[in-house]
Amino acid sequence: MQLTLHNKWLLTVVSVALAASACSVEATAGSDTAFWSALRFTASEVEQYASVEEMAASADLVVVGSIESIAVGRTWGSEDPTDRLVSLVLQVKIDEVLKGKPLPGASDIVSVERTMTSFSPDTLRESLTDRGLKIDDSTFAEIPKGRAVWFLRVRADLGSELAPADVPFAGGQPYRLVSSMGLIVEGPDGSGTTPMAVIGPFHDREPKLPEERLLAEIANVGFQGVVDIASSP
Amino acid sequence: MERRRNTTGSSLRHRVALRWLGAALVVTFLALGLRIPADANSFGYPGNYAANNGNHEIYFSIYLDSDLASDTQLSMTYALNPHPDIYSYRTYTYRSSNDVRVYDGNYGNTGWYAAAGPCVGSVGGSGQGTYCKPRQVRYNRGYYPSAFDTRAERRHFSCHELGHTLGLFHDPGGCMSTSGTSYYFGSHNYDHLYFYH
Repeated sequence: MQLTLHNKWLLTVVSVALAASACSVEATAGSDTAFWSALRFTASEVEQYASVEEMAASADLVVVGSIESIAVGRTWGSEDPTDRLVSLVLQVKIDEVLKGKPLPGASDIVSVERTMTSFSPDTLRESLTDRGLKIDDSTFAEIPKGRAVWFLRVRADLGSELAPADVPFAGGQPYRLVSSMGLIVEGPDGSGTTPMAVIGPFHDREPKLPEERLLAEIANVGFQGVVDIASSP
Repeated sequence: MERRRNTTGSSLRHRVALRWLGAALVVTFLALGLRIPADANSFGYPGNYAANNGNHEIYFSIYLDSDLASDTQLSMTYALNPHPDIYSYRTYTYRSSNDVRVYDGNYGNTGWYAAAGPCVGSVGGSGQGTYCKPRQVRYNRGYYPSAFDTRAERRHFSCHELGHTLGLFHDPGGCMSTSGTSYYFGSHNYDHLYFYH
């Protein structure tokens, strides 16, 4: 087929556009994005998992649950008065225990503590309201109401802080996510998303990093698939 | 007259040739990733806004461990500053022009050795050129001291976290990998640092 000059030019433009979009950023879907984005940051993590099975096997506790409330947690820092950071405590109501046993006395609540790397206690307290988290002057997010699978590790670090949390921890001990991939939220279409994780685009290549392989698996099996794998003996 | 017709025809051919040459150059640059910012650049991505990758003023807490301070400076000198679009420099003055603030301490069992905090400061720019500062780099050396034993580890963490403050994501190559102890940016990430100020 003979291409006209116009068509050749159009073809060039389309090629350029396709090349430029070869790897674009994936956003977390849903109205809870603003909430999760406030808790999301990049880090060199202690634990890394390349599969749901591996992550479930390692976790101290795996539950299906939803956030009931949030509160300001403990404060850490150094001698530098500008160096303060604080945690956010997510009180998660347990719907189902998939692996492990909640701490004695925790009943149906588990306290998940997320250390916030940029907030001081004062700025976090100012930003909290009864129903959500005020991130900045223009964004207000409500607490997500949906179900999620939580892969948890007992923190066992009480005493490392400068100041205690505003609320008691269920069972006397806080948990943390095993990694930023340890929270898998149920999507309206049955999919699973990992809103705490910051994962760069990689669809111009095969998933290579552990979190990329785990993300690919979650996308493949969906939320119920994650529940099934995590609860299998 | 004959001469004029020849000039006009030559000019048309010249314009068409130039147009194709321009298109070919753009496609070639995009294909090779040469000094053209690929769309995967994370600048402007919520939760990973770049702190600024022109002049990158990095505040060191005066209480920062001396080895960590020295090796963070090495990452600035040998990983960041060789890039023609980045000039990072250290300050001990806590002020609004800080793009990044670096601390270490005992932050408890956070699950991370080091982190680049999300931006909760002032946002500027737009789209993929969005920046936000200051961002914070935290080394959890107090709780995970053995992770910072060697210079290679310290340089890896500092290169990695400062890379995040420039908006970079994890990548299998170089110090943005989630494993290994490389302390230079891989070529993929290095190319992403072009052209955003």
